[in-house]
Amino acid sequence: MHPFALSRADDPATAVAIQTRDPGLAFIAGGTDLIGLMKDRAALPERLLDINHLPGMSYIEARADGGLRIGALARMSDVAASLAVRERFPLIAEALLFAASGQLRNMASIGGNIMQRTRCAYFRDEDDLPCNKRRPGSGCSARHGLNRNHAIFGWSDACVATNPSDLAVALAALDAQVIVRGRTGERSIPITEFHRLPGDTPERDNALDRGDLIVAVDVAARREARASHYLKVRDRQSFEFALVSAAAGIAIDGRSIASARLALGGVAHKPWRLRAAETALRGVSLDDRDALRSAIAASFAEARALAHNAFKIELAQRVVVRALQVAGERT
Amino acid sequence: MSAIGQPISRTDGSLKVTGRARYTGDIRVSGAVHAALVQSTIASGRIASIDTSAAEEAGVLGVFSYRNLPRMNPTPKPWSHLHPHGQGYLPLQDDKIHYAGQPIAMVVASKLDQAVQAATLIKVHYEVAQPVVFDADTTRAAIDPPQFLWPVASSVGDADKGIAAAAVKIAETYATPDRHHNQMEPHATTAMWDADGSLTLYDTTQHLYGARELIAMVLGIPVDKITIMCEFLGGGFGGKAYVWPHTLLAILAAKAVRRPVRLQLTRAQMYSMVGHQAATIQTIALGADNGGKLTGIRHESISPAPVFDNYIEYAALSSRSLWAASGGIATNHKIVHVNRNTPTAMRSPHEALGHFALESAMDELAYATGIDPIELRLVNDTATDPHSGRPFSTRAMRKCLIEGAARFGWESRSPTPRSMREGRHLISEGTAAEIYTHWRWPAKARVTINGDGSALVETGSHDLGTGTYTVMRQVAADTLGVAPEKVTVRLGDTRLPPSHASIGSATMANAGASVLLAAESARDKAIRLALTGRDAPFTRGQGADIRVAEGTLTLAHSNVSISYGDLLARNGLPNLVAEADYDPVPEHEGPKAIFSFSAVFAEVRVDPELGIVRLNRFVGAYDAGRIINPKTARSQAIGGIIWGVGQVLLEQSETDPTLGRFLNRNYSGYLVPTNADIPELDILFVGDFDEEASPLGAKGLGELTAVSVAPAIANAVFHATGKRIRRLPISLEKLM
Amino acid sequence: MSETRGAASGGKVVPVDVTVNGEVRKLVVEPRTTLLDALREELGLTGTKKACDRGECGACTVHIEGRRILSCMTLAAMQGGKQITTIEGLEHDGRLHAVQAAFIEHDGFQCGFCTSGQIMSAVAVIEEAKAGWPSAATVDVGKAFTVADLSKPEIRERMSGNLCRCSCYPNIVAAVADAAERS
Repeated sequence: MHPFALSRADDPATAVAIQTRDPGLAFIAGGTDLIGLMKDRAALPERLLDINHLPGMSYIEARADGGLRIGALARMSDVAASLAVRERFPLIAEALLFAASGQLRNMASIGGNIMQRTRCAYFRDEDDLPCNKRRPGSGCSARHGLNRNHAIFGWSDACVATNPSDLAVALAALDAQVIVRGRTGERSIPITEFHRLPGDTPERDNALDRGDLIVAVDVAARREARASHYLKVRDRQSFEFALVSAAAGIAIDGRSIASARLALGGVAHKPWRLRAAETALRGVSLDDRDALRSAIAASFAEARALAHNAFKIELAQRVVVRALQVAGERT
Repeated sequence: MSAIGQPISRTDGSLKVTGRARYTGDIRVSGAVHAALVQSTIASGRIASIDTSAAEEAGVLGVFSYRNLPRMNPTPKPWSHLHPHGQGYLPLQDDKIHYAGQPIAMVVASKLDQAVQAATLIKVHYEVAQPVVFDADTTRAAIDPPQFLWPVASSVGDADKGIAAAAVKIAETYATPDRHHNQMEPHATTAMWDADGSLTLYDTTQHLYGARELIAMVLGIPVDKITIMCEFLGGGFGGKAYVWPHTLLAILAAKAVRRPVRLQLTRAQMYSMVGHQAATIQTIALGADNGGKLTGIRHESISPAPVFDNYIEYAALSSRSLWAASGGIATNHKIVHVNRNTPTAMRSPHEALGHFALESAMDELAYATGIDPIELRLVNDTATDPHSGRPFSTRAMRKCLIEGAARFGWESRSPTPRSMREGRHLISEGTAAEIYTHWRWPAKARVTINGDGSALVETGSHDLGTGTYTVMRQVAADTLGVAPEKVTVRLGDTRLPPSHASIGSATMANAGASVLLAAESARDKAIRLALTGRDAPFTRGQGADIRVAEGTLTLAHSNVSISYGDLLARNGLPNLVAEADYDPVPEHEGPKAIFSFSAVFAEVRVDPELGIVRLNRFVGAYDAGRIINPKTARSQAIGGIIWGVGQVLLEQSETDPTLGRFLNRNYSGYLVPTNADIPELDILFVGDFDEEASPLGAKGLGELTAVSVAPAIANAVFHATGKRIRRLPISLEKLM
Repeated sequence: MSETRGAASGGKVVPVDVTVNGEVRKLVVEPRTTLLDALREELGLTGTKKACDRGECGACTVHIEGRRILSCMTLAAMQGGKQITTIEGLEHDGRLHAVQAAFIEHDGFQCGFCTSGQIMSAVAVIEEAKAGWPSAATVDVGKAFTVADLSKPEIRERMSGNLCRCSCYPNIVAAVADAAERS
């Protein structure tokens, strides 16, 4: 790795202030993404600020109203092991457990998880290949290169990368809020607006400004949360990023869907919420596969395949059907 | 009790579970400094300019490029096991760029981070040419390569006539992708020069003596001035059998900076600094009568090679000897020169590629003729090698098929595709047979019987995880008549008696034979001493009348006995030393054809909606001759099966067509199986002692077990889905 | 904010005290030095292996404060005051840990290069199961999990962060199951 300085933050206000005035400084918590990026020279911060010692940011709070608030420094494994999380929001526990490995989940923080950068092989290559996300203006190697793992929704000619977080997909389905402390104080960003589409500025992954520190993730109680499932499809059985994943939660009236929450992973630069499908699914029977398929198709009119990933458009719809069916078994 | 045949736990186990086993990169050499490489970011062209000034000013010990690295001697051609040069194009010798990731500069610094960082300061400008990649266009211009291992083409009888006249014909094209070994241990070299011009290397090698010969030749160093050590190897799989550019660079760097130099490849560098398995495009034509009996086989393969080497993946080799075909068998290989580094042997070289095509085609023939796949193979079994006309030394193919099928429960299989279900999943079963080349190579060993009754085995072989330390102990213990715990085995050092490369599943049969012979010789020396030495205890009888057990020699039909220790003491000897030189005729010059065989059976479950295939269970029945240690042999077998699971379902090194470079250069992009991908595996050994193969009766096993997993699973996938996947890997989009 | 001693001078070495295998070790490392490199190069603890150096294989697994982590993706300078256990610290009174013994008995390795990481992971897997942690193989994460639920599919999933290219997986699973039963 390149040489850098390391210091430690003891309170959030100072951390925010330091990063606000220092464009060469990056926060480091678990480090499981940042250190890899630095080794591949896709991130070259001059200074790291260790935020692991910020007080009161590692909690998992099961709120009396049925909601959940998770400190940004809580580790993935602790959140996944929390009985409150598992009982109230099984899809959050599943999204965490299907991610990475046991070792990485012990290290990685919740805030860092949703900050993960894309796994696009061109972006990550040590050799600094043409990539607008890595070097704006250098072009997108994946657009006409190898793009089986890339986006089918919301991509631009400048970038076809996908977001790798599993957790963010579950949070998007639940309309979670990301609590951010910045130079003007604390604010709440809906997770569905936290990650950006690439457009002409793919170097920006999310809505954070310099100095912004994620302090927590807030998940309100949802009636679709208990009958929920996170389904992750990948080439091998474990320890791999999603080819396509779906977070599904439903409220049921008999066998028919009263309301649904759906988001996809592995298909876009951000967790991809299927709002049109959610609307179309109301009143559809879980046992009527054809009706499920046509309701889901409402969200796929805007899907656009790249050279090697057309299969994802069909796969994603099948994954959603399956996720709904499994969620339905949990009522 | 005999140690051979016992499931003895690995003798190096306690070193490996405590972290005390020292691999090449673990060995600390006083004063060692670190080398880091700069590699070409383009795949074809030349270096227009290279500016190393910033790196040189970064407090480093040396910066090297083609402008200042000493010239090397050209590499011998053709490639051979004796001069195992991984790649004919030598590093940092000129300004040409032939492949992406080609080493073009090297920095040496006292700390690794410092060397790596300084390497990033080297500025290179290229004249860029359009790279040539292996694709549908370039394969049309495939050429006939010169021979290097086996004849490029073969023809017995008239295959085409046999096929033309057949009642049932299969003609299909199969493709296998580029793959990389991805051993857990990265390649590493530490090079040290002494004042007297001698060179000591710690090197990750499966071929100590070949490496020594090759390094001597290329760098102009007398062979006897070179010592190479490799006590533990963190996986080889063929990829560490040859000398690759980094080893030569480390040696030259150490000479230039006058310090020991360590050079360890990064994971990403392992995709271009060392070999890989080349892709193949294979065409197979089979003809058979209505009873399934083959009337002809034609098997041709095209694979990529670098612009500077003629490496051939002998994928069609498999078809020469696996099945009989009444009309004839024809095979051929072609290559395409492209911009890439040189491919090399990878478990299981040649065979695992060819069997995917041949044994998939056999399954297609089974469906075309309506004959059960096991029966079809039994019908085409042969006691004579169709290629050489020699009888097989041993060939338990029938036993493999019948006993394996019984263990698997094949008879309850419903042959119709999509006919077996379990919930959302389709369940299916597939089978394939395997044949694997047997190598006979010379090997030397030395066995010492010590005064305390212990014994030392010394041979320049290797333990890549195959269990060499353990099985050599068993061989020596039985032969000397001592307990296994009394035997110490030393491997992995060119100062030991020379052995052969640990490749081609040849170690047990050949290096093992040398240990057997040396132990016999040491034992016989002791027996002679007991008959004719000072105060000889045995006053009558001859060698054959003396038994040795538990370290004690006993004369038959008497109660006269003497321990090795007492015998040596009585003769005033500190020890008894014997050496052996096992020097067999090469297999192809022998009277019989020697191969290993097996039949394997896979049950998979397929999620037909999502296209996901997972292995449910697996039975492998193997004829690898006599099994010396069923525990380590079973481990090799499960390893080979899982290697095959990776081949058929996951592994491929992807080349960007524009950049002409391997793109997925890490474990998250290049997928190998995880623990969760693998169910219980059931292993049967059905072979018998094969005296032609080795005095130990053993044939090769490790490579054999990875040969036909791919077609067995691909055949099961067809059984599940009705879809015949002829291009690996079987990724989910191919089944949706 | 407190500086991690001397950190403002980018790239310069910093002192860090860590407890490794029960012994306080005074490290002097650059901020960029990973815990893996510090263990191997500074402390000579070469049982922990560098295989991918990107958090993708598990060969560098060690325990920090009793939890399994990847030392290649951890900065040594951030571990001041922490308790670190490596493969060299697993034996007690010269006796192998039950997991180490089970790996030998079940032949849970071939080349041995991934073995330190496999064993460190396995020790933690058993503790995690005792603590009631579910996994991706757990059918209903909403239910309590006990060590009795540590089936072979559970072990396979939980050990999947440790790649083995010799591919000893079934033997590794047998070893972990055996050790879990004995513990």
